[in-house]
Amino acid sequence: MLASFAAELLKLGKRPATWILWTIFGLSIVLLGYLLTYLLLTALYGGASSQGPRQDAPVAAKGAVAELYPRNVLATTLRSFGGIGAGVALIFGALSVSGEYGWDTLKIVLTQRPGRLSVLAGKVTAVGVVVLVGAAAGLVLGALCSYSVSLAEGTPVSWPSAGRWLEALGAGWLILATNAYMGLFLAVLLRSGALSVGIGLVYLLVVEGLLTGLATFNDRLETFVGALPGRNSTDLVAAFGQGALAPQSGPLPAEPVEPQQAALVLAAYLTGFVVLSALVFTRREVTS
Amino acid sequence: MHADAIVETRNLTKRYGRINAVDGLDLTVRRGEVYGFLGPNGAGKTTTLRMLLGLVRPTSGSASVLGGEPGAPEGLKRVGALVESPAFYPYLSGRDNLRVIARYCGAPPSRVDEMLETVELSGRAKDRFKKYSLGMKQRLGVAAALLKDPELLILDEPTNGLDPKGMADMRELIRRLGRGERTVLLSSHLLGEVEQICDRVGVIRKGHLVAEGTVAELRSKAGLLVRAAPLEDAAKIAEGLVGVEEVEVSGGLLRLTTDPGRAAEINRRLVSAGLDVSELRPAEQSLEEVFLELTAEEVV
Repeated sequence: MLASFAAELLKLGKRPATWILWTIFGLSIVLLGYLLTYLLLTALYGGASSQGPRQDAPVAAKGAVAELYPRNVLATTLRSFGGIGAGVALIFGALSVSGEYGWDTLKIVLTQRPGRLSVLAGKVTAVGVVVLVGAAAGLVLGALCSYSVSLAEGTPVSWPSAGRWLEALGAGWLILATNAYMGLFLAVLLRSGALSVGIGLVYLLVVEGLLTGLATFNDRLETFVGALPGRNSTDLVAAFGQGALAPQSGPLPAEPVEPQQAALVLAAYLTGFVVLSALVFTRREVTS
Repeated sequence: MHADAIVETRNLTKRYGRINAVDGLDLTVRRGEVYGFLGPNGAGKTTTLRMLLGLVRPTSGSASVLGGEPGAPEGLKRVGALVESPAFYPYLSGRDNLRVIARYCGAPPSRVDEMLETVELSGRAKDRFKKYSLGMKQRLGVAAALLKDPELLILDEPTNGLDPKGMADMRELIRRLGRGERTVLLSSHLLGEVEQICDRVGVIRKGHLVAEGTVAELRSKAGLLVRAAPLEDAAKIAEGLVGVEEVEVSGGLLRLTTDPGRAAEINRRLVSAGLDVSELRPAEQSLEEVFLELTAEEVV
């Protein structure tokens, strides 16, 4: 397994798509999570018109800027993990396998020494390690951004405890890895990059959102949606705080589940995707 | 199992729906030989090789590679393979592609540059694979197959798509690789290639092995050529001889399908019948003629 892991790391590390995807994830934290949010909020409370339907907007905006400070860095940054991060991780997981089919390199990989299970274990581990690095880098970027906001606002800097940082890293990894292994499983199953990424993104961006919206009208559907990975990712992030620009009201139909429960559900999905991938990967013939 | 067999299949069959891609194949490749696996396109060569590498599971029958089950890690570490077109990661350089393969198979990193040297790609080792010409890709494929210093080298049509110079270079490379202890199983539909390189040849048609032996054995199975007058009378007498399977008149000669060792007896019968026999010699067919005969009904 170590041999496969070393080979996979070399491939992923040298692949431009890996760097492009995780750069997009980093930019989403910096630009959308912090810069754009900060500019919008400061425009609202500093000099923007207080006329119109939301006359309380400047006050609310000033309060929301506080969510960008270092003490709230984990909540604000982790919101990007469940959003763009989930999509990035899904694409990354899918590409880590689909390339083998697209370039027909699976035949050369599987005719070296390691068995199929070792090859897949190496791939899964390498994907997990890259996701861990991505999650850590995301949190570091969030920290830098929140520190910059604090400097700009002239407020004292206060950080979450080291234990909270570790919990956030674990939660962030779990959210990203669940989505990465979903992509990996889809690619093993469908043997196509375009199809696995397409179906995965449709699920993430459309199906779960649609079901979540409809669940407000039906208790049974609500129970079902409560077991989906997207909802549990959201609930896990909620355990770290609200974050800036979080919805004050609207389509959050239920109370978030306990973070431990959300983490367990995500871990179950993650394990399920890996086991299913192994079942398909070890049984299927390599015909072309 | 033969004592010196490195690859052996017994009644090996692969069925896709109603199509028998490989049908009851019995194949034996001996240690140290260069074995040519010859057959028209679609005859089942690549499917057989994929079964020998564990990429495809047989529907029935058995196969043994280096004494073990095909695709088992213990066997795979002693087998190098280039199946169909060379497949590598396009975004990696030639050297990095080999580094990846070396990590998978546990070959020492020093083998990478050694193999690049062997296939004369050292000068282009830093270039991305996607920039390589077809000939360079094939050579990189051979280099990858050699990383493990394998006891058995399986090459599936390694000269496909190469220009004449590339083909000559590849043939020379395979000849060099086949010297010594290494066994080479070379699949091809190029007869000249097989004739020049291989010690023994197996011909496959519609998934069956239809002939096996040395190139010389296959070519000498043709029989005798006889120049006699009158030719029609000679043909009639030959048709009546026991042991002559077929008589064909072609270019003023009789081509008899029979054991060439019966030349004296046939000569005696023709002369005693009052015919003039001016020439009698073993009829060696070219490998191409043998191949076309064995694989008749197929389009090469």
